[in-house]
Amino acid sequence: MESDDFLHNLNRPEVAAPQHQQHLRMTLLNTRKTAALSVWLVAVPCFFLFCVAMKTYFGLNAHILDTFAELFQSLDRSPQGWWLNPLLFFVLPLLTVALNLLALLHIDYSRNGPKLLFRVQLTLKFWNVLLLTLGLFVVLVVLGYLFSEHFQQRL
Amino acid sequence: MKFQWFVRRGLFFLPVAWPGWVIVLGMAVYAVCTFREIDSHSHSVSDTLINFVFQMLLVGAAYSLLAFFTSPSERSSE
Repeated sequence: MESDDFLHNLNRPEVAAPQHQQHLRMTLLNTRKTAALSVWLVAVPCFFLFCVAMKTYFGLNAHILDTFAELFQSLDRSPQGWWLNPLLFFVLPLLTVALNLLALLHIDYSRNGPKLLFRVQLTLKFWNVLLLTLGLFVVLVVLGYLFSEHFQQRL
Repeated sequence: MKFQWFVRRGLFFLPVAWPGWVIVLGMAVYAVCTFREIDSHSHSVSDTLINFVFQMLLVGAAYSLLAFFTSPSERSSE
């Protein structure tokens, strides 16, 4: 009976928001799987820019580079292929940047009373960072090209 | 709904279920047809190869994108 009284008089412990529920670690995409996909997404624009750089800056005149450039020119002229160049040189590199950012970014948030604290972490994985940089480079080169081609001084 | 049609092996996604194999087979048929079509219009070997490689890179990108979303999520090592 004494033990029953003792147990009845015990205060029940109250669990106030366990730590693991307060923190949510958001690793949205796996880094290696994203890197495997990203290689395919930036392969064509990177190869094209490589060919252009070889021809323009290093003066390399190879038939294979000319053929590749002609292929893109014919795509640009074709009425059916108008969507392919924007897709290859803008949408897919932009998708690469977005996917790799999602794979590398970790967002923790915790609630401390009325305050909501966010902590953003960037994991440095070599291949993801490289592919992210390549995607960003392609997008910036294309945007720079578009800007320089269409910019007109208005007097 | 979770699809498990492909698994990643290095840079490539390999089929492990029948829908994955159907997609791979469709790609192979498309590759052969594309090669024949390009070869009938091209003027040189390099012309054929450049056009074909370009087409295959596009198909590879589409295939990888599809396989990316239909493969199981991997346990992150970090």
